[in-house]
Amino acid sequence: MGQPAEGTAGRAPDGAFPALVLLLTVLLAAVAVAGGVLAEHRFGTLAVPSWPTALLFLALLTAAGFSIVRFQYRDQGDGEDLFEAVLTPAMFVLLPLQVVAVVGVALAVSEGLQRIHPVKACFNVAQWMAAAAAGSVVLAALRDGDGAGPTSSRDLFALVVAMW
Amino acid sequence: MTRAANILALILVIWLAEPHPIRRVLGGVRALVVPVWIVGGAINLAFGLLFVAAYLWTPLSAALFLVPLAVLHWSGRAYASIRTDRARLAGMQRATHALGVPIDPRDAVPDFLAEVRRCFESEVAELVVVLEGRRVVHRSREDPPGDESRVEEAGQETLAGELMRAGRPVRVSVAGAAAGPASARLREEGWRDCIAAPVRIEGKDIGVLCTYNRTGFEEGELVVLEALAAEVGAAIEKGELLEAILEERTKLTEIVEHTSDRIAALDPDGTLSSWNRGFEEITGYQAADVVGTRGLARLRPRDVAGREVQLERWADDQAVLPAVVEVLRPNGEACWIACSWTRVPAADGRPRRLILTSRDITKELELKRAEKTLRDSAARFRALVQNSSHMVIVLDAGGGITYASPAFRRMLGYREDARVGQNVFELIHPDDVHGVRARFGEHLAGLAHSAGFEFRFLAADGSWRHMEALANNLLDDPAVGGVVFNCRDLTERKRAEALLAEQAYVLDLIARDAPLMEILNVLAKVIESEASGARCAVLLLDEGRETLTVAAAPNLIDVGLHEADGLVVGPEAGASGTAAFRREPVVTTDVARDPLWHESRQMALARGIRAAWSNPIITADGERVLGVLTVYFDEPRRPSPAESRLLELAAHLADIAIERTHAQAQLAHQAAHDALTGLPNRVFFLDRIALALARTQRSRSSVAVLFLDLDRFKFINDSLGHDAGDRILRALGKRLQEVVRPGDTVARFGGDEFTILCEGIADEAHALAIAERVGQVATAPFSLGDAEVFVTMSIGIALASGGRVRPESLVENADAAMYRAKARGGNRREVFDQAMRARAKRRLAMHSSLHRAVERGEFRVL
Repeated sequence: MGQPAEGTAGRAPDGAFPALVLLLTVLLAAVAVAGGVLAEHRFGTLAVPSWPTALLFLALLTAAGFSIVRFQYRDQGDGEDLFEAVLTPAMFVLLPLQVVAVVGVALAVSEGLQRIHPVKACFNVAQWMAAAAAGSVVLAALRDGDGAGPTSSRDLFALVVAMW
Repeated sequence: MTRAANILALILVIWLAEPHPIRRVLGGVRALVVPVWIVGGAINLAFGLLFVAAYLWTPLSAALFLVPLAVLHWSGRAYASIRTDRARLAGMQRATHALGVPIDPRDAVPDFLAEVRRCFESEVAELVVVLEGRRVVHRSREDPPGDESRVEEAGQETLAGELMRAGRPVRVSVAGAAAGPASARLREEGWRDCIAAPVRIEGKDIGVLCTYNRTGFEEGELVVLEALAAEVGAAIEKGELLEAILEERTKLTEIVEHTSDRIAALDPDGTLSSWNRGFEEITGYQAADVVGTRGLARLRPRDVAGREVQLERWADDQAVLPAVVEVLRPNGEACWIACSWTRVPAADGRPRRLILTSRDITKELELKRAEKTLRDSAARFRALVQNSSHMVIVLDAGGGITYASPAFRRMLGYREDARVGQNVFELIHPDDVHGVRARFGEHLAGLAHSAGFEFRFLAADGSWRHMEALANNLLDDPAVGGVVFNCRDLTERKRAEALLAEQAYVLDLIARDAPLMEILNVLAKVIESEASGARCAVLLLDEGRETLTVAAAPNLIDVGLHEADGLVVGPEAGASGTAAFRREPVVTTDVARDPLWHESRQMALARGIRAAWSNPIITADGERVLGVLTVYFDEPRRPSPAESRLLELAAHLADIAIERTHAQAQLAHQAAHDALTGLPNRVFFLDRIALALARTQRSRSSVAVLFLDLDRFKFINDSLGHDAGDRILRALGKRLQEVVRPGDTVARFGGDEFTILCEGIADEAHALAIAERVGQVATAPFSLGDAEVFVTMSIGIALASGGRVRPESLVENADAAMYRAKARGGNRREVFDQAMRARAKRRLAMHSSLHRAVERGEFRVL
């Protein structure tokens, strides 16, 4: 996925962000929370990971926000962050709500460190929280069992679908 | 699902943030996101699955998740950097190339900026150039695509202004830590990041090249931008130079085309390569007619000497190109052009082009010829006026002198223009000024006539010069603006005329036998009248030629001339004595210092004599000095040539007068005296008798005439010759003069007859006593060489008194008495009586009768 800061490529709006953007941000955040709750309570439960694991992924996600893979596509250079590369194991290991929370916190930290415009940063945080929640819902729905057993190929397939 | 949710959220936010139709939004997102979404998704998913596997293998491996990500990040970044550098380099080449495409690089600025924008993958590239107090902004935008340019006031606060003030390559970001005025301005204008580099020409900042809005401009990119700024600076400079060159070329073209001069160019082989409009106008040949021909052959150029000008060989070192050339127009008319030839060398020094610049001087030459004619004429007239013996003065209407020719100075002795401005009537003799005013007024009134008029004009030395003038009123002539007086100096002529008149008067006096003293007096006065301040004296040399006697000195007698000048003739005897001695003119300009005056200087100075000029009066044959003519002055003075000539003339006239007087005296003497003895002759004797008889009326005495005749003198002549007789007669005359009383007159009456007139005779005895004494003089012998001759005389005496007695009668009576003495044997003295006369008459009558009887044959021999 494109860089959050460049997701709204073009000149920055001269004035405040449209209220619809803020509303969309709030909506996405709400969807994220709802999705997390739904995934956690409706589609089974995982073993509660330890807090150090959650903090580890928080750190990894925060760092992944800075990691960008640059590549040349035709005559145009572009870049892709590797946030999802870390999000994938986090979403597979952590509980949905944990994932949503960790993603939100990690992106907030990362965006803040990169001095991204607060509105944009909020949108990006809400966007990724919503995306993580959506992925968690799909993963929870498709994975084999409640995830407590050994990892099966179905789980991996569910993970691929959830991430895509 | 994660990626799909992200795309969805992105589409929504774009759609909500920007008022674009959803289709367009979807189109934009598809173009932007799809490739990245697929590639990025694949990479993330691959790493995600790898991390999941690793985590499942051992959760501790999670700590190493960032290692591959970091490696990927940095390797990707390095790769991107290389690609970017290459892209930048290529972009820079394209940008630089863009500047080199058009002739004027400034025309390529939009293309250049587009390449810059592409090179830095930025949204906007901008070039701001400050020109003449205004900022010209050129901008290339990515969105919306296109170029724009505008002009801003230089003082306007803009981001470009801030970037220019930096004066160095800068990188500015709204998110940068070092937020300054540029950062604030960047934020105000709505940009995120930018880099800028100054554009310089010859080290001077003239603008800035910047590009906006790409996150993460790197420091190294500044170098690229700076290089591009240098390129565009050089391009602008080149453009300006090109513009200046084009402007110069345009100017030169305009000058060549519109100049009044004629310009042509010839190649080294003489081929005409350029021919401007001016040449077309003066020669009548169009450029198409002559360009490409060699050596202007169609115009047949010739120099002033008529030689053909060989322009085909102008490149030869020896070729001489004439300054004036005659060419022929198509109609055969000649045209003269003044040529300036400029040889333009090539880089190797060889002649490359010959530039001919010329002017049509045909009319100029004609004008010059006319001017020269006019100038020559003016010079001729000026020379005539300046060198004319006539004086030309120009007077204004009031008589003021506005111009005076050089003759004014020469004639009158004034300094040049000394009298310019003065009224001419102040310089005219008071007796003449009225007449001159009248003539001047007539000229002013237009009543002029051509006759000249005479007047006297005041000279610088105070003398009056006689002038004859012709006046001409040229007041209306702007070149003159006055009444022209053309004056002729008559002074010398007047003086010559006066001198001639005086000379004629003197000659008339001489011809009329006027007394010499009167003539000399007149002559002295003439000199005094001609030489101002002169006092003249004529001195005659006495018989002994040792002293001078004043003959005429009308103004010097009273001052004791005799003593002043001396009467002695000698080598140092004043002016007069020395002139008589040297027989040449002597000029003493200052008596006080002349050594000739050392003896009489004090006396001369005491009488006021300071200068003296003396001319000797010499006979025409140059043999004798008759006297001197001397002029005295009471101040030191040197004679002018005219005065010297006057003295010479006067001396000559004096010579004539004196010689004529001498000649007359000699003639008179010869008329009254016998040439052989020098004694008075019969005529003179009779005249003396008449005078003596007249005197007897007052003295109541008598006069006695003694008639002497030598006895037998014919015998002496016949025997000793007439020369001996003449010598005896001369000797006898001297003896008679010695023996008579003073006042008695001895005369030779003819042949051997002498007469003596004795006055104051009391009676016959007195007369006889004288006769006896006279008779004794012949008793002494006369010596004739070795011989001595003795002679005797018969003397007849007649006495008379009273004025009524005829002198001839008295002589006849004495003659009769002398015959009586001869009749009585000679060597006797007889006194006349009346019987002697009767007898003489009878004897005469008988003589006549006998003579007639012989003629008539009345004699008979009985």
